[in-house]
Amino acid sequence: MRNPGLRRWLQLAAGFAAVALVIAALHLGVGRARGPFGRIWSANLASGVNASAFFYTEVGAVGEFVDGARGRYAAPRDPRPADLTALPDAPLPR
Amino acid sequence: MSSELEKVWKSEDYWAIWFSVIILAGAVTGLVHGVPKLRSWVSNPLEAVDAAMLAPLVLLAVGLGALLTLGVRIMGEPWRRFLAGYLVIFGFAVASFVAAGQESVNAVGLEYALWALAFGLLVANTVGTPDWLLAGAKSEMFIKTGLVLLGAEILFSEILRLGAPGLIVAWVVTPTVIVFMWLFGTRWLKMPSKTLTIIIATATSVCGVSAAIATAAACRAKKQELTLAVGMTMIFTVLMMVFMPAIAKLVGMQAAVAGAWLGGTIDSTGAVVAAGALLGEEAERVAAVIKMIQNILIGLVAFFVALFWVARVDRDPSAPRPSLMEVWYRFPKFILGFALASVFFSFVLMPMLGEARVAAILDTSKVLRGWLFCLAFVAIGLESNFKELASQLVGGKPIILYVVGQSFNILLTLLAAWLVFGGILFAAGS
Repeated sequence: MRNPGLRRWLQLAAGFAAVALVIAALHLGVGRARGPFGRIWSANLASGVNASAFFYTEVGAVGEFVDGARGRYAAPRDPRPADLTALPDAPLPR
Repeated sequence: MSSELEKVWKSEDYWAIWFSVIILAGAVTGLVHGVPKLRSWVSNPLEAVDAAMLAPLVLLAVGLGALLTLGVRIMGEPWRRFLAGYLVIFGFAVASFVAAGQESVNAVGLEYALWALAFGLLVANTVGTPDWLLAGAKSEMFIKTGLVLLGAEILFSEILRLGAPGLIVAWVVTPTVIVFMWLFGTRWLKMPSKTLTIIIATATSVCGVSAAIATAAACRAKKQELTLAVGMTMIFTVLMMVFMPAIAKLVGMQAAVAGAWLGGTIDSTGAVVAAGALLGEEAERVAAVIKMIQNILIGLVAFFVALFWVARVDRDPSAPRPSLMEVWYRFPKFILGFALASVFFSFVLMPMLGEARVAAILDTSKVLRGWLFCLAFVAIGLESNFKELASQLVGGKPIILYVVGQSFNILLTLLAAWLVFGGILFAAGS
């Protein structure tokens, strides 16, 4: 681009657009629990305290998490149970 | 002597104390209250700043701006330019809190400081920071004032509540890790910057961003060094927050041991509570308590770093040992404000007003401190450029220092947590 001033302003605009995109991506990937990472994020963090039981029963141990990332993990229940603390703190039968 | 007296009205170090005295006095008398804290939102950013929030936000911008501008004017600096720059920086601070307040962003642990830095860096590295905006970017003044306010939050009564187990995990491991990282960085890695080494060491071992800010101010580090340390800390905090509870659960760690382990290692207080919560109520409580007692060390660490810098690092080896007066002249005075605020709130206000009233006062000062830190991070971003940041990373030494230091911290804290909370040195459950 010939006009360096304009180029810099466009870079700034692109930067702010990138920030908006990052937030949107997190919202879709984390908040809506899409994809293996999204499920883990939302199961663990977005739902806060009560989500721990969900994480360790639905996703299981670290080995299963890796399997999940490879696509061999079955999708978590949807919708998730309202009272996650009620879930037993042990793996569910497969 | 007259020049030292003049500094009382002319230096940012002293003004950080005066600003804090005015803010805290306002909070104690009830004149300062209801400082706006932006709400979280899901899909519409306007939910964070609705109509009801607008008036308090404008009042905060104007009130804080008037106070800071008064100080800048008395210091003899161009106050009109400062005020213009400050208002724009305040706008970026609002945007940073809005970004951090998005529900999923908040859940992932990407805090306001990261967004504030990003916005500042974006402007500085694209269109460039104009001079009038730079005049408002008084990052050190914002940071130091925020730190003096932080001092008020460090209550001695909290230390007594925790007992010996908490003290061992927080106060034995933390200095050990700082010394280890300092020696590893300066002697083994031969880091070119001693200030960067100590900032990374304290950020890793104490409590991330706040400790990094306090240490950077105490040893007069470059802003780029603080940016780098804060950026690294935040990225690793997110990883630790997810994987450490999973590991604790996997190996069947006792709740108290796991809580102490998380509290002693994860840098940000918010992340510690979130990670502890994943392991249940007991782990969450122990983790939060350990982090709290570790946070108390911020002031002590900043004090000793300032002293060490004046007496050893910055000292001309051929010059005679500096006198006490020289140490006093060069000592960053705002750290005294930090210590005095802690002593005053712990030993004067707490017995006088009671726990509930002090907690209400601190609720106000905490939110204001958050705003000041946010302003500081926007300002740091505006003063930094990517080239200088990249030059700090040459050879990857800062990352090696962080990873090695954090690994040592994780192992040593685990050992200490097991010894004191695992029923080895003290009865389990005590």
